[in-house]
Amino acid sequence: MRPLTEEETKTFFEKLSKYIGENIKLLVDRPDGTYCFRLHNNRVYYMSQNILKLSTNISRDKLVSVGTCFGKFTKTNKFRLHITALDFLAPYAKFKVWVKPGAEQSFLYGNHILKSGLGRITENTMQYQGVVVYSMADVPLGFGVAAKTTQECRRVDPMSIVVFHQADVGEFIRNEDALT
Amino acid sequence: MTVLNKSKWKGGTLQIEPAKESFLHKLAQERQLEQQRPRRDTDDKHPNAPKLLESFSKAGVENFTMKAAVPGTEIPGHKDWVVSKYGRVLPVMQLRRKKGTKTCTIKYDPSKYCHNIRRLDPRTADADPPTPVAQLTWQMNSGDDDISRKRRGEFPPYRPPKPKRTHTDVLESIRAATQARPAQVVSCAKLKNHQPMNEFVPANDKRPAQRRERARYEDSDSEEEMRRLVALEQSSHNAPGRDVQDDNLEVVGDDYLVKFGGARQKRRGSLMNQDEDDYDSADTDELFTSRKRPVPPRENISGERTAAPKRKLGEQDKGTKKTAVLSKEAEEDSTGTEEMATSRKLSLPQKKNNIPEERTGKAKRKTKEDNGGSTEMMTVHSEEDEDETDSADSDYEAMFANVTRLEISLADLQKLAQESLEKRPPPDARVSPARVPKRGTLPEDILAALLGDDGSDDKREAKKEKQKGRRVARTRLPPFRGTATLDEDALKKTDVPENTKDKSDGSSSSFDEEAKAAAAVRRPRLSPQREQKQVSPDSEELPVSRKPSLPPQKNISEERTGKAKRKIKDDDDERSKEMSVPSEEDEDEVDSAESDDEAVFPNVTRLEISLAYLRKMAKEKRAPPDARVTSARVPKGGILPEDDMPAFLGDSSSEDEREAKKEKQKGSTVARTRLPPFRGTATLDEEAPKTTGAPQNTTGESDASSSSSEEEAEEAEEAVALRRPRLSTREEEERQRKDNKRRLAAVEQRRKEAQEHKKLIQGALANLDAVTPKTGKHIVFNFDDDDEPAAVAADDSVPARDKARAAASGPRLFGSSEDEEDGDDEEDGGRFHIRPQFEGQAGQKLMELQSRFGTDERFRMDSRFLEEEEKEDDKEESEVKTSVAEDEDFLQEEKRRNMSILQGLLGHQATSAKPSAKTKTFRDVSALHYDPSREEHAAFESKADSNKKSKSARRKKREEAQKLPEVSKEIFYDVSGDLKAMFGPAAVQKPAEQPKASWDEEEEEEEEKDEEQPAPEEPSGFMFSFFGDEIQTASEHKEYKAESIQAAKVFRWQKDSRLQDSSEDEEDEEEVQQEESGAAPKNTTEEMVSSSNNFFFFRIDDSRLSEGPKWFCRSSQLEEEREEWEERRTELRQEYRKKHKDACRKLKSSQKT
Repeated sequence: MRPLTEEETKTFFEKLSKYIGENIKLLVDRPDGTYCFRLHNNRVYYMSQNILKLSTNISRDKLVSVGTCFGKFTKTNKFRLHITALDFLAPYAKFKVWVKPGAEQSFLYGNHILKSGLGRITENTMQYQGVVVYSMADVPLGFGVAAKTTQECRRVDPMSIVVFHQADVGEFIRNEDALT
Repeated sequence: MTVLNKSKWKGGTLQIEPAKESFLHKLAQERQLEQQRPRRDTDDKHPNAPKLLESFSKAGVENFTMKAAVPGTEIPGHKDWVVSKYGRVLPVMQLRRKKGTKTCTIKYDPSKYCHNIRRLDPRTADADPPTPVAQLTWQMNSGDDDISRKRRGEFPPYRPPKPKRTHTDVLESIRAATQARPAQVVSCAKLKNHQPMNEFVPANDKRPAQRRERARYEDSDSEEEMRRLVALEQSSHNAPGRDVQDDNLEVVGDDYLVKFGGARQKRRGSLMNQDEDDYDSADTDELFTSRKRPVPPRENISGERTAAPKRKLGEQDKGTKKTAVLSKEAEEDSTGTEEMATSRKLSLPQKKNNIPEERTGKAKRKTKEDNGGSTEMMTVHSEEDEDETDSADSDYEAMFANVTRLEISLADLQKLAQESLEKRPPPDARVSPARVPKRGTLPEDILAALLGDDGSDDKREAKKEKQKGRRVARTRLPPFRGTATLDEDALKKTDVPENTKDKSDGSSSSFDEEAKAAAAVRRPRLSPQREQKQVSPDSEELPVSRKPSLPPQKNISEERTGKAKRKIKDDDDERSKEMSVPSEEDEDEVDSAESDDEAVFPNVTRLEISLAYLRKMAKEKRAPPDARVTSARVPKGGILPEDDMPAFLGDSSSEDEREAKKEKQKGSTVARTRLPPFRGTATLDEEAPKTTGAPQNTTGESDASSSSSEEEAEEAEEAVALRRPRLSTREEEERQRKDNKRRLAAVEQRRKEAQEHKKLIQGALANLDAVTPKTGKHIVFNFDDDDEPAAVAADDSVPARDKARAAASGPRLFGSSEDEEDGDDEEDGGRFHIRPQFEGQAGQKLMELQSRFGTDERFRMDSRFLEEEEKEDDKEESEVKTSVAEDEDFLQEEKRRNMSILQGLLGHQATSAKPSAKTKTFRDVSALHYDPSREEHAAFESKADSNKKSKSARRKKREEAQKLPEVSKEIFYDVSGDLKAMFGPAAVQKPAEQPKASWDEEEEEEEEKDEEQPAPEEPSGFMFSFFGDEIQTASEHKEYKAESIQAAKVFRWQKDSRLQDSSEDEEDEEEVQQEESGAAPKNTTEEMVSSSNNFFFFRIDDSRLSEGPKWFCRSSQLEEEREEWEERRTELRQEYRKKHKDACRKLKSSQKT
């Protein structure tokens, strides 16, 4: 387990900023304690200082997970957000998409969100903007990438994709073995 | 040929025959033949047919029919021709049929069967030309999508098959399919959620697996894939004719607050508690569907609807509800919140019905049929609601639904309720603004009936304003009182003024009904507790209420006032009994308060929709509420306000003052019936006399005001608006003091309760403590052994030695071995000595050590150990510290680095971002309680002073306006006989410009005199002109208008002090403007008058006579105007909705803070 290098941090923050923008600093600079990001097994974990200290008692090869996993670095050194990061993305999300109840299931099975399933969207959403997906009952379901701007979303036909799926809470079951 | 045949040629024999015909040649020949043959055939055919016919005719057959022949008879001379049924001659057919291997022929004898021959008309066949073969294939104008292109043979460039492709292909095919069948698309769009998904899921079944695979192994190309996907999307969707009208997509702003997740969202520190979510998608689903399509099963929907908005309501009115709930006990509070929670969660109508059941259970009145009836009524009301399709009004619907629900829940007075239902005008009327005026006038009519005698007696038809004002006062008051009665808590009072404000808006429309509902609610509650006093009025009221049509309504409204009054008394009774624990009735009151609150809101909407004159009326009405707000805090004195005293005080006050004789026919009958209970309350209540005194005050005032007929117009307004303040100036302080006293008492009581509660808990805990030593006794086994010092449960060994001390020490849990050792000389206090060796970091360690060893004497840790360890500890500590410091530094540095990276990423952010200072501090609204002794609670006090001040200022201003301008005594007028000069408008102003020389000189002299004087006020001077006078009144009129607008501005959601200030400024400005306008129009009229030379009296050929009627005529067509209005109406409505939304939002936010 080690802190992220500069480059890694940059990549990571770039990805994260697509979803929560400048709210990253609220994660980095938290009033309720010192929190940090750590890299372990190519995965980025977000944890408090206390847990960090505690985790030093466990040998690296035995340590499976510590804190909250935000995602992992791929072999090509790109960062991929995991659904476990949703807890931290959802409250800080800048752009949101609400999915109709009927389309919830589809999304939770890993499908993109079609226009027909789009219940509500934050205005001024740009294309390829990271969005957090909520159910109509405001339960965060996952996150994705806006395939269309808000204006386009109004016009497109109901079968077109408006949000590309990135992660959803269904992965907790589907991807159980891979998630940490 | 034969010669040459078999001849030798170059060593070979020749075989010569005629050559085979060339194929082409043969073909040409055949074709030629074929061309010739048909002609021949036709030639053959035609001769044949006449032959047959001829032979037939010979055999007696005409036109294939043989008359008078039995079916089945053969035609002579013709084999196989028989007469079939109906006399037609037909051939017998030999049909060959293959049955398995053998073939057989079937003889079809037409005479055996009914035949159905249709004759083909060759001409018609010729008429429509046969479609050429080339055109037999037909084409569909399919779209420009892939599939159709492929059908046409245009294949897209080959793409290497990838896992993605299959998916997109599926997508596209589906898309193409839907495109090819536009109807299908429509239906999909209509069916919303489920249909498309059902279609889709199987198609995409493969996806997750693929995705997962990709997620694991080919993470890297996710971006590229996405890009490709996007490209695909674009290519497929940029096709023309794709613009599907977006119907239900909602776009929200950046500041959209997540409803339920919102709370979680705010808790940024603790993000993990998601388990609190009550997430029920089924609920939302139903909600959704019910919102989207109004399906016949309305009852269901209504249930859902009421459930759905209720949730909103729960959110929005949490603050008010909580305050309302405040007066309940803790347990009741909890049940209330439970109710709220359940109502928020449950969407099913049955469950909704359960809630009323609960409530009514509390009201001790519930029957099953009522429940059934209630559902019916609910449907009716929900239909009303559905008409208001706008989602923006859903809150209002919700509230309205709530009201009905409450009404229903107490439907044991079903008759009454039904009556009210009947009286309720057709629900649609509420929606369309065109019909709204009708509604708006409705209560007026009722009240006109109510006050009919007053109105007729008054003879002041010109002062309709006054009547209106009075009506308004009356209509508004009952519910106000309803809420006011509940204002035992000071906090609630802070809410109530706002309610009343709102109420003022709603008073014009169907508010009576709501109030009635409230009355109906109140009624059952009261009756059990009003034994003797109420029996008589009740018995009177009931028959009265059974009367049909208008009278009952009137009576009910009056009855309601009586009810409310009794209610007050009721409250007082309770208070006098010192019932600290609020009874169920109290809770019901709270409910009714809620219902009132809710009842208030729909009124607002309805009014806002209503037309201009209604609005004007509302504006006029808005002055009073201000006054009422000031005294809203007066709990009981204020409950019986002066304005409505006349309404139920029977023979006293306003009716007296007006000396109405007719009213005794009607009004007093009702009034008298109601009077006894009131007096009863008066005797019971200490404050009731005061209230009776109050109206007398007002009557005195109104007397004074009525004396001068000139002021009546003003008084009409004032009488309503200013009674309150005047009273309040006199008694305000007393009342406030009293109120404060009461509030303090309430606070005190609350504290006491809390203390009691604490005591109770303490007592319980003490009991627990007391139990422990007893149990300790059981452990003891060496009771008599004096010398055993180290007893674990040593406490009881001590008394063996020293009983007195044991008695003193009582239960001793913490007796240590030291105590034993030190013996008797060390008192109990000794064991609480601070031991220095256990202090500090090292001491703590020592302590831990000690605790590990237990109380063993041998291992007692004293200060010696401490000294030695100190250094080591220090070392260790310093090491640890340094490491910690290093860690800290490291982390800090990391953080800094992160921040710098972030800054580089985002560009503009400040480094050490403060955790947004805007974070709201949570304030428990339910715990909020107005405490007059606390300084900061002054913020909760409604500012009566500013209003008063403004009012007084306004009044002063009005008086000023009313007053004739001061004229210096030195000016005198030389009255000449010239009428023109006399009636002409003030020439004083511009005498120099006046060309008239006759009195010019004199005027000039006067002018000079004027100029000599300072003449500070009213530069316009005295004007003796009818027209000038008119102008003045006009300006006055204008002032009124401006005022009313200003009053209208003081909404609750606009209670920014800034706004009020601005309004004040406006007033000032208006004053200035008034002065200016006082001068400016005069000039213009002066010119006009002078030019036209009009007199006050009309002449025959007066231009005014011709002009005047034009004002009454319609300038444009009625149709056009209507259209114009129609157009404008939508705009207005939208405008209103926007405003209303804003207001709601503001209200919400203000409630939250």
